[in-house]
Amino acid sequence: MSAYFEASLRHRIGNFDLDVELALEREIGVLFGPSAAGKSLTLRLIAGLAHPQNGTVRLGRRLLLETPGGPVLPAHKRKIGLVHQDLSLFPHLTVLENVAYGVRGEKQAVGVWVKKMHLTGVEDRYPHQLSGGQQQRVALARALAPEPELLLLDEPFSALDGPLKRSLRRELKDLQRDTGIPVLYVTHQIEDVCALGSTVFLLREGRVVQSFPVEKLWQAGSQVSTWPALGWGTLIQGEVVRRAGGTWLSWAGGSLELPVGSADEGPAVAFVPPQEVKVLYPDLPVDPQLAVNVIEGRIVERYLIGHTCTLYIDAVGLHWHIEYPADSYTDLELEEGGLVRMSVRPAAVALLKPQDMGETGGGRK
Amino acid sequence: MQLSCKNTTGSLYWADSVMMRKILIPLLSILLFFAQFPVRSDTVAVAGGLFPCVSELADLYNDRVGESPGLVVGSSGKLASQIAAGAPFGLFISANLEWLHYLEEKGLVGEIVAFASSPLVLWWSRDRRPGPNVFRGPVRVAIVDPALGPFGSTARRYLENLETYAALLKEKRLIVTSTALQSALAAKSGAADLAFTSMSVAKKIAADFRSPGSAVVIPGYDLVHAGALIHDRSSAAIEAFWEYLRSEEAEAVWQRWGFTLEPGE
Amino acid sequence: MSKALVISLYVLALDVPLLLVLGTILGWVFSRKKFVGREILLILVLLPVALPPSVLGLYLLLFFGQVPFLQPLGLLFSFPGAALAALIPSLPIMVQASRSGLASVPEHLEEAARTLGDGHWRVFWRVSLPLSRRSLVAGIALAAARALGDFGLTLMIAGNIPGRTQTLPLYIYSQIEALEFGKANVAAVLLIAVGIASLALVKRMEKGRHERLL
Repeated sequence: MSAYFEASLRHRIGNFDLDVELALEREIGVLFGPSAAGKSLTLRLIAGLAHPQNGTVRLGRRLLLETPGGPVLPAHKRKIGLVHQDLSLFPHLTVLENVAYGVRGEKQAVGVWVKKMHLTGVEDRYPHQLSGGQQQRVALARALAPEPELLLLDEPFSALDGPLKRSLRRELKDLQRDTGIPVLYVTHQIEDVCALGSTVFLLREGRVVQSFPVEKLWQAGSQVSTWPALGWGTLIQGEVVRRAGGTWLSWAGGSLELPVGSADEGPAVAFVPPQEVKVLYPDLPVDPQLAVNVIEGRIVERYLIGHTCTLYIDAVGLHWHIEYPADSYTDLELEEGGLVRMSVRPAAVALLKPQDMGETGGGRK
Repeated sequence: MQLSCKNTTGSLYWADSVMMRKILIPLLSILLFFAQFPVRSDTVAVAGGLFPCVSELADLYNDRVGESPGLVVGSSGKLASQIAAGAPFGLFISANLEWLHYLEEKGLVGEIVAFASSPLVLWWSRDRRPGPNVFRGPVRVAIVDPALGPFGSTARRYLENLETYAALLKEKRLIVTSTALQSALAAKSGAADLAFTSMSVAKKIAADFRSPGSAVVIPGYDLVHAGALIHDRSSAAIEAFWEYLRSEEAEAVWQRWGFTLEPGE
Repeated sequence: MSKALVISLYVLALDVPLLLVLGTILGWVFSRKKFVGREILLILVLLPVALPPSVLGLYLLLFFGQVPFLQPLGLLFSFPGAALAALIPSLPIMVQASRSGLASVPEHLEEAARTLGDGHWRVFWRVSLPLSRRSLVAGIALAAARALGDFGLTLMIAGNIPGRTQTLPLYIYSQIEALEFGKANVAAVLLIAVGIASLALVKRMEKGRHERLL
């Protein structure tokens, strides 16, 4: 049985090769991966703003794209909503006009959306007169008002702060449940994965290396096979415990201190982005923030691509992935097989817990 | 909830403004409706130097007969090129016989009639007239470009006969302009000390400007002015006007402007 | 003088809408589209700015005079010729202004409009045009001024025929040739007044509903 939305895209730009397969039901799919993995390009190809050299895009019963040889529907006929990272609100139109932009004929729907997105009272304002959160809502309302059959979101909440982001994510999930429109959400932040998605697509260097339902992240042992495939960051499954007045994430091989009071006790999954792990110089004083979580391990693999150096380190029962600019740590002569001391700030440990997810949107049943 | 979804199609808002709707569009429509430019088939092409005098004569003719042909002024070369390209001029009057012959060779004009002459005039802004030795000193002289026509070439011939042309050229004391009026203005403004110009211009400056300067006629270097009717584009009205220009009644006006009407070729 | 004034006004009335429409469309084509022969076409459009009017006029005179099927158009020595002569050197000004104005509209806004269901023409009309309004207005002001003041080209291909093609600038020239400096001065003041009035009109149209864009 084929999914509601399917896309198969192959495209080459310069040295970059994109080869992506996606399938989505009426749910939120999260396209997760580091920057320059091809996430934005994928969205553009699906939306029809660019055309792949080879590909098929099918939405419901409509074949939007088939190259070579088949139809190539232009962007404005695809009925696919797109919210770009910079929101692209029309500066010369009011909130109301922005939201109504894609709606033809009956304008009643516009009023409904203004209300639904809590924009009552600011309809006559211009985008530059709105707060960040309001602008996001306008962008969402505008994309949804024309009743698209698919919604694409390119890191829309990345510039917002924590509480606002969380509330908008909740709103998005509610919206998706109400409308039943499949949503493809692109992000490089792990918290979005858990908070939003029901299906996760891990994208790295132009390829979907894994796709799985998000519950698998909590299943014991699964992340060991899942995460290294992405080769990005470090995923830790463990438990949050309170001890000695602090909050810790604890697992079989070790523990990391978390910001005080940041979580309740219980099973948890944490993600450490590769840039957040700092290598320590043996004889230099350590930043107090880094002093707590000092870890010692052995470098298993090291390579340099462009201006970024990548290290894989076995430490405290985990396979760590860290990245740093090539011109850092040159004095340390880090080599494969050597020992290294590293640390991570408590605040940089992105904690994800099943509670964070709330209800996963839609779902494949 | 009452919605005023005005302009949600984002139409050009300035097209909505009162200005456009109530004023401009009706105005434009009215203008276009009344746009009528009479097609005049009787136009006379007059080269620059003759224009002031012919203009006055045209006004007098108009008073007498009730209507006179339109006058078009320009440089001889441009006018001749336009005639060759089909310009609706019925008569061409100019001091530049070369251009008249050019049109004759193309078979576009009838008989070329030389009808008037005017002297070459040397003018400067001082009160006393310039003497014959004036070119010996370090003076700058304005002349019309000799390549453009008889005005400049005649002045050059004069200077060459005086054996000062080469010196003026070498010492960069020759100011080359494009019309007799420009030469005079060059001398008036101080860019040059002396100017070879026409009697018409010299008289005009004397009448209009506070410091009239003084002019001297250079004998023996008169310019000849001629005219020719253009085939298939003249009319009885133009021919009548052409006759009038060369008639005795017109003579007094010509003289006032510094021309001498002459019969024959 | 009044005839020359009327002719100049008619030239403006005819050319300004033409400059606006033609200049904007050409500007859009050059700012967004790539096609074979684009560079050559661009050079052709911009050429009148580089050529001296007499030279341009001479070639156009020959072109319209000799090419057989263009003759009956009656473009030479006629009012349409005067309107054309004023349009040709002003068009490049408008094209350049609209080209840069339209190119400066952020592409992601136009893409957003496309995902919202607008085809290329609607995107142009609803997003690109309003957002490049400032450049377009500045462009039309300059182009209109250029059209109003054209001399050399009009003189060559339309002639200096009073009551038919003699615009105000040509009238001033004729009066100077007639040594009628007084009339020339009055006409010059009139020309300046018309110029200022057009600029003021353009400025009025620029004040749309929205004072602050981007």
